[in-house]
Amino acid sequence: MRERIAIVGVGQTYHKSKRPDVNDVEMINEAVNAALNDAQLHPKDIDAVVMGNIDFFEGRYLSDMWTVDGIGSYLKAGFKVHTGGTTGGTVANCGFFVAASGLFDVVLAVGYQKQDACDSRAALMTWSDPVWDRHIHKGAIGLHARRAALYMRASGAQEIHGAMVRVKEDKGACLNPYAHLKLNLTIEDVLNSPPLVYPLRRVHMCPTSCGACALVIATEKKAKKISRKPVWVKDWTEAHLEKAPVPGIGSPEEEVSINALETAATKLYRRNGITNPRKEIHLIEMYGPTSWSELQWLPELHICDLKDSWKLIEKGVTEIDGELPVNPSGGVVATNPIGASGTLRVAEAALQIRGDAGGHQVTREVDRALATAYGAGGWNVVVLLEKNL
Amino acid sequence: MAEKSLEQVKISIRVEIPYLWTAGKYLARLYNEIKENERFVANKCPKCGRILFPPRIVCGRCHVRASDEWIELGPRGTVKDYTIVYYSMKDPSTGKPRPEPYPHAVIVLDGGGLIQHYLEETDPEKLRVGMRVEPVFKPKSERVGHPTDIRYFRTVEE
Ligand SMILES: [Zn+2]
Repeated sequence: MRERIAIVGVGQTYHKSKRPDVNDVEMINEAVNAALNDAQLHPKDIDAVVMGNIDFFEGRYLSDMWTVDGIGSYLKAGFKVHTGGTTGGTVANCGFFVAASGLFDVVLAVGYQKQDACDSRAALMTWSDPVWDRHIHKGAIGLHARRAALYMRASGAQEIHGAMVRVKEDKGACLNPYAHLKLNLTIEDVLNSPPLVYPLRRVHMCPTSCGACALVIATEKKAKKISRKPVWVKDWTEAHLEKAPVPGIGSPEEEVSINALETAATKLYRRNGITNPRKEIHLIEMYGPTSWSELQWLPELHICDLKDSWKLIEKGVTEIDGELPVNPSGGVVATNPIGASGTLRVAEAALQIRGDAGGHQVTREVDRALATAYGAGGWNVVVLLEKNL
Repeated sequence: MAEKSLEQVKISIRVEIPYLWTAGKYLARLYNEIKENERFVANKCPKCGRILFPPRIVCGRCHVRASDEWIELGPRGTVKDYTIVYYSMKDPSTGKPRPEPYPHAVIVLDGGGLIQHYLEETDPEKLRVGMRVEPVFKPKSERVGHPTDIRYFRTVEE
């Protein structure tokens, strides 16, 4: 029997492509301090720490050791996790595992990335298999372009729908003080943005950001003492894809689908008696590396059929004032400190439930929210947060 | 308070790390077939029956030892999908950018198995899903036993 747990503090840095004013430790500490302040706690109140980043980006492994000062993990229990693009989501999930174990009362989970340290695109290439296909690899951009093209063909979506999602994300980002790209985009701007790999244009693709995000997670008894508005972590699931001959797909039948996201969501819904996610989920912070991801993956989350996801953006359902807002923060397409991006999804969903999101607080009441994380490595994470225990 | 320029010190280092990877006996079989005979080979999962290409020791879905019976695939195949790359990307094996735009295709080999590769045909007007292609290999003297022994796939009329 696991402990019931809640998020009692969240903190994030502002995000930019370069942070020459701080080193990793200093940057991480901004998010950790913000989370501890939010929870009104002191580093001595933290019993265990889970942290993560893609350490190849900063070119220094043992990031757990190098960041002890910034996180405050000296002599504390915990570990570091790295699951590629999913890292930030896995950091959150591992924080939940540790807190739910009942062995610790208060757990700090920290994701970060300082992408100004190296050429991230070059570093990302190292996830491909050097023995099989690294020579032909197109990196994340090619993989997502391929998925978007397949999605368009399967669903009847047009280029304009990807543009509509991009404009919606930008509107959220412009209202979010912590977001990285705030572009005031129009549909025409998106459609005229330089093509990268068809149908992906430059503005469709997530940026490389510097930033960090921290969550304070506590067991039920502690959570009620610490916070007036604890956000309950009802459940969390994960599923992994297999090693694929062509990155992103395992076999001809897996076309648009990433499969593991669907598996993780189905398991989560079943365990929590959710039968109509479209109505029962009130908000989604989805880890979508491109503007097309939302259209491709809402069906994976059983929000709609594949052929209907572009109709949701046409009808404004997923807008900040819509019936089911998706990425009101601006999402990963606006802000992508990759090792923190999944943690940010959880943090943003928690703030929306609390009503503390600020400028990008959604119009509707949010009692139940989903946060997801994704990475090209194949691990998919889904988190269910609730206002009431 | 120090000058801003004094606070912002940056250290630039380029790291070169040599690696030596092992293909393993299943991939090695495929690579030797490419090098010696311009052929693609695969094995199968005895449980779910799917073709494992590139060949491997285990079916990751069924968790069973893959078969040691070898089947030949292709060398011809069908373009399953393709996309056009418009941005300059460094070829990780040469470090040099590839002239863009260029098509990048996923090809289903005859008999099964997917491979991603470049196409000889670069005119978007002449590309289509379902087009038939065949691999063009480097001359035998230049082949080393690696997928880079394939230059690209070219269109074939059948
Ligand atoms: Zn099998």
